[in-house]
Amino acid sequence: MTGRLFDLNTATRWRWRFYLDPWLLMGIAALATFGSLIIYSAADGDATFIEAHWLKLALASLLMIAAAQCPQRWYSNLALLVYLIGLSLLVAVMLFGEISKGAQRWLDFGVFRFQPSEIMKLAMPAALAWLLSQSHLPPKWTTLMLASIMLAIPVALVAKQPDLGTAILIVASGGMVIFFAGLAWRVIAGLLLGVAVAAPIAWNHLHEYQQKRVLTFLNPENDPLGSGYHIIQSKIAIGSGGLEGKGWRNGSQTQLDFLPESHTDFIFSVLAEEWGLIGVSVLLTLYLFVIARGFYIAWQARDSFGRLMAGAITMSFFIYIFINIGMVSGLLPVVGVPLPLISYGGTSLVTLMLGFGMLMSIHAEHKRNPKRSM
Amino acid sequence: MIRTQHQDRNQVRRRLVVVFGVVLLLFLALILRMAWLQITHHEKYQELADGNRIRIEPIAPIRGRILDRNGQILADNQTVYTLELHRDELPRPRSLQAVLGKLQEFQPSLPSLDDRVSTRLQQQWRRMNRHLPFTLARLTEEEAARFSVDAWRYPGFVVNAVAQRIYPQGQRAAHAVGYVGRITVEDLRTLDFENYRNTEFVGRSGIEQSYEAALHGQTGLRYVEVDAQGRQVRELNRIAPESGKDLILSLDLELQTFAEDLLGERKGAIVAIDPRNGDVLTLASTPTFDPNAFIARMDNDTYQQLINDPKKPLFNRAIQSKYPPGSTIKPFMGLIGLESGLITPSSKKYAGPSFEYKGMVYRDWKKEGHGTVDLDLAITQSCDVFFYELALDMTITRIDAGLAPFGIGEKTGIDLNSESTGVRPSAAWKRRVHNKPWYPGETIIVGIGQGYLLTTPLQLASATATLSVQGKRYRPHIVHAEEDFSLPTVPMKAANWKAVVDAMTHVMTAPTGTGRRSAPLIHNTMAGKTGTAQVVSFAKDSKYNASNFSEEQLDHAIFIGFSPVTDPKIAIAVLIENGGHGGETAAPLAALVADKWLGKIGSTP
Repeated sequence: MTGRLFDLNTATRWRWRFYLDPWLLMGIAALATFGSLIIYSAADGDATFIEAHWLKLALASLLMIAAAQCPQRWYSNLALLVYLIGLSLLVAVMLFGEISKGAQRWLDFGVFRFQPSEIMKLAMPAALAWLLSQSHLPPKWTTLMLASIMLAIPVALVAKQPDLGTAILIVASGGMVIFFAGLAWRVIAGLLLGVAVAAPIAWNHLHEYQQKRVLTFLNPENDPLGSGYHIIQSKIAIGSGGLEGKGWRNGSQTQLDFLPESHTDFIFSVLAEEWGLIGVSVLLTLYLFVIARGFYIAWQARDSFGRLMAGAITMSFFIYIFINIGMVSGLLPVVGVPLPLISYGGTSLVTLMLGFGMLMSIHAEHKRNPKRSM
Repeated sequence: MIRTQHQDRNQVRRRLVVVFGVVLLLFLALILRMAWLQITHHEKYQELADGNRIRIEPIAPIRGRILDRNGQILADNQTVYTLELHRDELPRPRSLQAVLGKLQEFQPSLPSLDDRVSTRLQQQWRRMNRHLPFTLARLTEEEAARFSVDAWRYPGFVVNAVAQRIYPQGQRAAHAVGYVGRITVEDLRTLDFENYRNTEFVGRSGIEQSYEAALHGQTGLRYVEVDAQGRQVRELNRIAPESGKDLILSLDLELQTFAEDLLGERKGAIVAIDPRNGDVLTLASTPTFDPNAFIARMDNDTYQQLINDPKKPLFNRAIQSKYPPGSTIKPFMGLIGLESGLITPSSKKYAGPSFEYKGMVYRDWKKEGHGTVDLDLAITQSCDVFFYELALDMTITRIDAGLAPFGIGEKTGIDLNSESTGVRPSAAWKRRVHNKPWYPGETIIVGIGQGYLLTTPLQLASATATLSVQGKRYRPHIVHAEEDFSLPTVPMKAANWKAVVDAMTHVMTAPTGTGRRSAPLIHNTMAGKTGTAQVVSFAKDSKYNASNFSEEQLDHAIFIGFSPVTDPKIAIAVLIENGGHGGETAAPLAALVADKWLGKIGSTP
């Protein structure tokens, strides 16, 4: 009787422990090191670039470590609130952007500038994971409708800014949560069919100049002086790299500045030119390792929220990689998405590392509360 | 409970497996795409990369010169030597530290290469284009020669000869000619970036600014074949730059110099216009400055000194300053009065010591009054009371409408930027600007060119030119152009023009004329009007006594005039800040300038 107060079986009891996932950490460190070497070459041996990059990496890592220490329930409890804050900030950006004519993605707080759409990359999957984990899976129709509305509004706001890259990433992260939760296959088939039927009809209703614009978007090589130029130069860089590459800091496309944005969005082409297919394979293997670990964490997660969130974070990471490499190699249209952990700096680095911190936190639930096995 | 939780878990796990499978497939797709580019089509892309060895370099055009109407050079280009950094040609490692280390080796032998250069390099190292030369310093000819001997030891550091702006006349006509300044980041937002890729300077004021597009010219291009390290192998093609146009001014440097010297140390402006075509012959503003100071990297002290000087030397008083025109407005008021029919050349008014309206007393400058006067005498003696009464009768609406065709209170449209508008008051204007109704008492003082009325010296000169040729109006311009500058003629009766011009002639010739003391200074006939613009108002019974006021409170002296009276060839406005009476200080300057010009163009009576 007296022992009840200290009953170890009590579900609410948990232990706070410092925790970092060593496998994720190794993968991230290896990618960041590889990235630094490539940036160094793209910046023509200018160490100041590396210093600035490392400073950003270090700050983002601190955030990741802090995020890993927070219990998972903080994320599920706060998800909706952060989502709503993010949504109101997006509305603020829209109103603010109206004044300064159009493409305004930033809110200026005087001391620092900040891009609210970035919040949504994590707040969106978290809020949907919270919503869908409130009842049993697969979700009911009503829950799915609510989830779709929650997904559609911020995406529309971001796409209107216009920031297509971020909009795609938000759609993907939120959509993955709904998919993992168990969107029925026949609904997915229905959606795909709907798109397939609607596309040609919509196409015929477009004006000629609108069709032309879409075509250029899909095939930038139609426009060799504009965005097509970047893709052409990027493909030359990749293709001329061959199997073994031209050697570190010896890529003529990179060193002669034919490659645009060589240290940010197009850094993959630098790697492919100077390190060849071998370097590319090493990078993709490292990425696959991190993704596999993310899937393992989702597989092992304690509850639905953890599973959905871990799956969505991992898939966002993959989507970054796929869109970026697909873009620079001419498979996909040009969308401004960085190559995660390799591209120089960027706001997305912070979001990315925060995501890894949350992944670690989800996995740490096993250590914090080992008794509640499930 | 446990069962449904298991169901939840398995639901997600099934989907995770599916998605991971898709991820693996997409990774495979990426690898295949890479293999397709890097193995299958490697040779094609290798060839394309090898062909990518052409670099396009801009060549800056030579800036057009500025010459006066006789071909005297006001703005020219001179060859100067610069030490440039070519980052492409540096030995590796091409780091900032390595460059700074090299700099220290030869810096002691080049005094022009001071310590500011390393600060500048550190600030701009990351932003600069690696393939374009970066100017480190200007070298003297001797330094350039000395460095060139050793240059082989410092690859990447190159001595280059470039054209740079010089103003051979120094301070002369500095406000009109203006100056160029180094292009800043802000400039690049507004300039055509492509055309300014290799340009260092851009017009900042005066003609240099307003004619920037014509003076700058078109940037040329060099197509250079480079090796894998980016070093030039040979030049493939060249599109020559198009030099900027030389501008010939209507300004006469000799007359300008003469006018500037007449003003001397005083703050003031002299504007002279050819009334037959609107040519601006002189646009003098004092104190002036040396525009060459803006070209050599001006140290901050010199610049601050120019900016903060209470005499405002950078301020172009001829077109930017606004003053009440004072009594020089009276001939125009007389014209409007005659045209309105409220007076005729022979109508007389009694002009006592003051004019009273609604209990307010408006005093004449002449304590005892002028007695009974007609328009001619009122202009000749500059009678205030006559014009108080006339203005009140005409109302501000009629005055506003009458002054408008002369361009009073409007930009003249001269081909220079930053011209002031001045103020031509009306009831609507006061409502708009001050949100108050117009009071008739305010009309009374506008009659003698005080109150809200504000004009620039250029406006006065232009209006005087129009008056001198019976309303033929031209847009004043400083750059000569084969173009008709005619503006709509001011429609007035010939008799009215004659009456006012006669009165202005009497200003110079009559025993009581306010400008009579200046008449001996000119060999030709002259018509004019003196004016004095109050800076401070003084109490009712006190007499204006110059010695009671500090210099800043002294009245501004103004004079407008033209010569010869028939077939005028020059119209002038003179303004001297705190110069006291227009008849004493401003009128002689106008007479001397007119005489100088008429002598030069051989127009003798």
